[in-house]
Amino acid sequence: MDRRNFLKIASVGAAIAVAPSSITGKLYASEGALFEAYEKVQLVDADGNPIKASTLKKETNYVFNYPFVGTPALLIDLGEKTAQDVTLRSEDGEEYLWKSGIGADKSIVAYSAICSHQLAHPTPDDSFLQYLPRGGKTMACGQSGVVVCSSHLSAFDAKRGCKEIAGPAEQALASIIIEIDKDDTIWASAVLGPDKFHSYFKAYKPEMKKFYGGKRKAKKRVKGDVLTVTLNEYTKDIIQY
Amino acid sequence: MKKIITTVLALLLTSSLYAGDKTQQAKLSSDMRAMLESVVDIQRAGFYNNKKGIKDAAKNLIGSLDSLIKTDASTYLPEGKANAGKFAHKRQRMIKMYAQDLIAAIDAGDIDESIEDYNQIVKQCTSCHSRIRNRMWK
Repeated sequence: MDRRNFLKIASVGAAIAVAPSSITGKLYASEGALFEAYEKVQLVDADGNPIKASTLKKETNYVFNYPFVGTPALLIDLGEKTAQDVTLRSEDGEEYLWKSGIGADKSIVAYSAICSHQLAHPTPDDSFLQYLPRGGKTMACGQSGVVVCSSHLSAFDAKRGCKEIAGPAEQALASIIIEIDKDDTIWASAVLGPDKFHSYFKAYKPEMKKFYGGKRKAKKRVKGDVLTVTLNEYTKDIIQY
Repeated sequence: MKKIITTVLALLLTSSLYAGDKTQQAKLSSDMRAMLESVVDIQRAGFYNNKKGIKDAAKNLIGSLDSLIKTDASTYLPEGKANAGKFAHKRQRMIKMYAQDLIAAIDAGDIDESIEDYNQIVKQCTSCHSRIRNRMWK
């Protein structure tokens, strides 16, 4: 990718981080889509009450399904400021800019919970992919404060756009673009970075039947509110190596 | 006399445990070979448009998986990989799910879906073997 195209994508990333809701439709990079706007939805708890950014437990995995009914995503307050303006590269060599975390401390992030290697993801039965709080241990790498996929031991730097840092994964997890409103409520509106949704739906069709009543239902875009729960509530078995 | 009896009992217990472990290993090895045969049979039947053959092979595959799913994986995984037991079990459950879907796809006459299910079965096998044998296939 040439410099002009990179800058174009970088400025798009910055714009998204500042005002996600102002962008609709698709923005294409030179060789593919690295940003896609979806329905803007509000994150709510099991009682339908809006999730407030300031009440998120630090370093806790929250799960919400976005942008589709069957695609899980992670919401995490990392408890410390993230890096800023991180340049990430897709496995096709396309570069894009991850702006930063959001919230008062720039510590809140959201990522697609589908591993960029072989698509492992949390399900109601089990979860092989989650954030490992600081001080935790993993076989994937010597670092903590990372998202680990315990299927093939890939690790992603949660403070740097979930850039791949260990294991067989060759690109970052896709970012979910979120924003915090004046009333502290959290909204999701887009996906930044190379997502794996197409391969995911293709590969996990029988699973979609089991959990969502079929692939077609699982592929419906989330609208309105989206249920957001802790990973412990979302799944029966958290598997962390 | 007491010492002799204790020693004999200990030896018997050890040897029976060892034999039990060996039996389990042998059963698991045999199941693995059955799984491989079933996967090959699915492909062979597919090449010859033998729908019944595909379904039979898929059923055999499911049958050979059950003892693996029910067994504690740490008893048969290689040393140093025993902690990947839940991962191995997950792959086995996924193979079962794809094999069941393959049968449904054949019944529905959906050739594309059956090919995808077969691909996914092979992918689950290689996914586990690459992890367990420490040779990552990117």
